[in-house]
Amino acid sequence: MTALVVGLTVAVALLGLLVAGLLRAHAEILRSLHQMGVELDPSRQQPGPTPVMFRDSGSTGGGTRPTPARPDVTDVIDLTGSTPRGDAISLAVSGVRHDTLAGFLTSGCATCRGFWDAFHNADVDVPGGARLVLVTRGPEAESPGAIAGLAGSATVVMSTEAWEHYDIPHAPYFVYISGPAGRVVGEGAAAGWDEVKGLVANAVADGTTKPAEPAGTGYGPARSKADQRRDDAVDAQLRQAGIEPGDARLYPTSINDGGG
Amino acid sequence: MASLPGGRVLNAMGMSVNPPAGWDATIYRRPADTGEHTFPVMHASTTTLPAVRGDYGSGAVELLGPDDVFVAVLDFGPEAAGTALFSGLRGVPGLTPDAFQARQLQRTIRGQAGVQRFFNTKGRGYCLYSVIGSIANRIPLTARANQLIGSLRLDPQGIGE
Repeated sequence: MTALVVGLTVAVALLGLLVAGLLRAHAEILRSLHQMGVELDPSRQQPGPTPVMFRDSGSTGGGTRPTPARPDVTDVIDLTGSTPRGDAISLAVSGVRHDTLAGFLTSGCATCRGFWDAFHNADVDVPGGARLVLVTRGPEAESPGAIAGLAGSATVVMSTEAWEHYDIPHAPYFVYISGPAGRVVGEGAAAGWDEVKGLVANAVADGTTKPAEPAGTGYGPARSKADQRRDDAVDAQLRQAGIEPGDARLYPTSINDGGG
Repeated sequence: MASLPGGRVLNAMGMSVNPPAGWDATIYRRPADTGEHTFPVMHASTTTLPAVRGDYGSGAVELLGPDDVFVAVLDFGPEAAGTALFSGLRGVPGLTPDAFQARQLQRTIRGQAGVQRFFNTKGRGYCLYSVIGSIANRIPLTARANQLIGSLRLDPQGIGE
């Protein structure tokens, strides 16, 4: 009898040690995931420490990304999908003058709730003037009604394709795309809108949101030297004639107008 | 429909369009009030489309720069197709530079010009309305508008009324 009790006690002790080891390993896995910005328990979603990062504007592409499936920062697509109201929508993010800050959110994550609240009204000020677009998964994965209630008047594109193309690892996640350069210049996660806004403001101040534009886009420095010389000559002639930028004669309202 | 470089095909409510690179586009239908019947509308612009816009582009055309174009196609339904206004032109029309006039604008904005064409196709009446940011640039801007218009397909069977 005594031997049986001792045997059982030893077995329980060994099993206890095994369970403790498993719990510790589990906790370490959770802590590692948390540090990567992944929160498995929706009841205690805390902001991941993964910061929004902005790349060196001198790079012309091919920079490293925090996620492996989209290694090329120039591999950008327009944000195309549907709105929570069921409209079809496509918003251009490259080959345009403006930048885009795409916020990838879900209706379920607690950290996202703070962003939804911040973006509920369309008048959100993004440093540098970038357009803010909220991107959720498509209607097959998210309730359009729930998203409509969360988004208010903010611009939302529901697109699983965008999530997959930009290889979004978790929500909330932000991707900053330079429109003139047609490339991702920064991405990551943050605790709240104020933190994202601060990081974007710093990047704008540092100039990292304005990388060199590819040739032929027609914007700024991509113009050829011959075109620039021609523009300068025309500007000089107009100034000699007393016509400065903004002069009404530069904007005729009909083909017969303009004093010709 | 073949995709233009950089473009994405939008297909909804009996309309499809393949916006070229650099264009915003949307196909929507306003919620109807009691006793009201609304029809689909397509908007496309080379500037950002603001969230709040009128069907004829108010709120959006004010953002056009001298190199920008706005295009709207408004469905007026089957009853309009046989009326004098819509029956004279069949099929989606292309645009010519001289068609753009300042007086065709819904609301006059200095330097801008607009054009409006009423037409019918497949038993429905439509209005094509376009605004360019600068009448002085009307030749290249007309080409930009036609690139978008050329990708437009109207298939009333998809409206789902």
